[in-house]
Amino acid sequence: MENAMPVTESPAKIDIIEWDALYQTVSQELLSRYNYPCMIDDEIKHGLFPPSAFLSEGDTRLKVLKYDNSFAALRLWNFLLSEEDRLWEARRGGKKIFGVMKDLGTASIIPYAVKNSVGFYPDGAWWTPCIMELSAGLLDIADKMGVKEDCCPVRATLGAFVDGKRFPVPDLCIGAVGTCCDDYSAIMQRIEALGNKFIWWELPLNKYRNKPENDRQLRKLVDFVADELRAVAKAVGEVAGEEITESKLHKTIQKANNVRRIIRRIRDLAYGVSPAPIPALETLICEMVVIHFCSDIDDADPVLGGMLAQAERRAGLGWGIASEDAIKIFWVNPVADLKMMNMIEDAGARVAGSEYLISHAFNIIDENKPPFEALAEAVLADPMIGPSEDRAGMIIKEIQRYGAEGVVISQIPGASHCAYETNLIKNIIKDKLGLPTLEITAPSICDGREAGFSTRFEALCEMINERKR
Amino acid sequence: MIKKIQALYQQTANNSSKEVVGFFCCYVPVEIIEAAGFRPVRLAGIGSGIAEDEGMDLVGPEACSFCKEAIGLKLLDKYPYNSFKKLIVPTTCDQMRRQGEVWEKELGVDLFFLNVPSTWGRSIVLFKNEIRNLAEWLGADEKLLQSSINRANNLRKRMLSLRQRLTAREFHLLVHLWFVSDFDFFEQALPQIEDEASGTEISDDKIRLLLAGGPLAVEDSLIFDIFEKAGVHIIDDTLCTGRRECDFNIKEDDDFLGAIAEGYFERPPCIWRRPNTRFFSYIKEIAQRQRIDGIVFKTLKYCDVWNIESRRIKDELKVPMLTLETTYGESSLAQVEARAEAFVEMLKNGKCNARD
Repeated sequence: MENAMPVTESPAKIDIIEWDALYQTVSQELLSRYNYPCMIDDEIKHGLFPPSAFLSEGDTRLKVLKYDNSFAALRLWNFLLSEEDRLWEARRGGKKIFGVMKDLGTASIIPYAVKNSVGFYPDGAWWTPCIMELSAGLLDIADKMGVKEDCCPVRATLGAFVDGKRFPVPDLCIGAVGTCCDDYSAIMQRIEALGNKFIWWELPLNKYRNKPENDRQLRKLVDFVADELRAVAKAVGEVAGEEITESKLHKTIQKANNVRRIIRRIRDLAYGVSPAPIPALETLICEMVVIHFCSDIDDADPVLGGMLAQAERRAGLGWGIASEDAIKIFWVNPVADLKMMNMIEDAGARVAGSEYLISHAFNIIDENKPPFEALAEAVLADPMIGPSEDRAGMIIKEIQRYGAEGVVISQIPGASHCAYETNLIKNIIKDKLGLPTLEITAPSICDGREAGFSTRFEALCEMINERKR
Repeated sequence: MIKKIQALYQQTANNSSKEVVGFFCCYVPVEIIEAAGFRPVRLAGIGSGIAEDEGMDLVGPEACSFCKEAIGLKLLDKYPYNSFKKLIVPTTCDQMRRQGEVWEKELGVDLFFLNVPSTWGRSIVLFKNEIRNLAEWLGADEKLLQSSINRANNLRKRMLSLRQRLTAREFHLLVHLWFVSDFDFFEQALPQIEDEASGTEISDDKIRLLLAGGPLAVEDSLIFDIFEKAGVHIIDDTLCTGRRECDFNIKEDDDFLGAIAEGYFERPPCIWRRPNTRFFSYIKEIAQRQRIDGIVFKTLKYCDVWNIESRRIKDELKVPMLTLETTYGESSLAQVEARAEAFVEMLKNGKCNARD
């Protein structure tokens, strides 16, 4: 339960320098229990480090972020920032590495059903241009390969495969295509054409969601996706040298569900309790951890468990990182620049609900059904593969659940789905709830437009306050 | 010939008493629409910059020109985008299917989303089921399917045989005529074109270009003019609004819907299939057979499926390539003209040097 121990008594957001000072107060005995790798002075060291330690890995965006000041958050950041180093260690240790791509939350469970295997989403390179403030040059590499900025920042993934420094080349890539962003589908194809080994599987449009009259057709779709996932499991088993049985998969689903239960509770506290017990930035990271367990399903549980314990403790004491009357904002789509999560709070708001296109990863997978069927149902709940109207409906339910007072739709530059669904979602929210909605388009580094974004966030908060009065 | 085809195209607006079913993309089987008693109309674009701008009333600027224009043409009440109440939208690319949502929610059409798999092999199961559902939705008559398959096969074969007897521009317009015709009309129109198709003489020293890329709209025929004026020959294409529209056949056996599903699933593929090895084999085979000197790769702004692969096409085919990424606006055309002239000049110099 050491994760429940606050480094300081009062919750606050602190910068990287303040974390360095606070870090000195943590007992060496406590720090020595952790083993996260971090490259310091060209040498991998293991332990639990302050965020500043990761600057030497090139993660320079850390300098401008504000962090939760809890020990649990420190561990969460170490878990996140050490992921690439852990993947390299896994490779050196002879583990098989699976690059799961696009479905964001379901196929990533499969590699964990066999020993000595790790599944991760290379798609996460989406954030590298932000975290490394473009210094890794991944977007430049993509650009040189003819994939330019009218494609979403996910093109950094192509850069990462070419660069070969971010993560080890996967033994097998598991590419979900079909109802998939066009840019990412094409980028996966470019990655395969570089000589990377792929198994492709079909992610069909789920046009039968919320339509009970089409139950029979939905059943057929579930069966089809279950067969696709069986093929994925077979390919993973062949590469790993160990067959994936239904029983092994069932046990892994149970592990995944444990993590999912934790994130559901974290979300309820972070979004639903006033004052907000943990910041939007750490909440977002907790959500992202769930999609592939940050490459370690066993550690994901205690890492998120620590954040949950922290949130519960603070909520019980009525402590929070923002004022009780902070404006409650629902956030739609992930932001390429993590700093935006700080900025919305600096404007007098707190995030009270999110739909980062990964909400299907928070659903509990049915453990009473045959595992492939249960996973197929989980796949078909992906907000990206159903009608935008359904996604809007899901957003509305969450807005109502957490009492959000306004909405920020954060468009992803170059992401084609935003061009179509933003208007639809905005209009449905407006018609059904009448809430003010702000649309923004945030690049990987938004420093040049920071003043403009802040003004718009403040204006949104003011407008909501005015309505409340 | 051009005028004749254009006149026939105009006639299609009024000549059929059948209700129109609109559809996007070449993976929607016309045979089923025809067998259900409708007139199939493929919405392959007009090429109007004004309509493209109009489309931005409902979608963001980062939508591709094709989808923005389609929505804009409906908003502007233009033929054939104003001629149907039923619309079939395949999931062949994400923008296409998301565009479908706009048609359904904002433009009031009765819509069928057709899941068209990106992958090969196993996913035929999904496509066969989708094809059966489509036939049910349209109310296709099983008995009429056989004749519909037979007629479509025949028409495609005859169109394909015209590929080398018409100029590239004439063939482009012929395919667009097919898109808006019902089978009866096209069967009457085709002999008039066949009779006049004289064939085109290609001298060995003329530059031979292959046209590849995304769909060309009707008015994109001006691009052919630019190259023809520059004194080169667009010898062939791999477009879904060109050769690939007619370069396949449906097996004529008893399981009509199964045969249609298999025929369309296996047809010369588009670049978005995964993996797209077969697309590359197809384009390489045509490039070799036609002994091409260069490629014109024409895509639309924000069309990710083509634009992201453009560099790879150049690398794999190893011939000079001109990439034209345009919108439908007039300014794009001026730019195309300047770049086309420079490209042709470069190829001509290369050919002269090779001869010397």
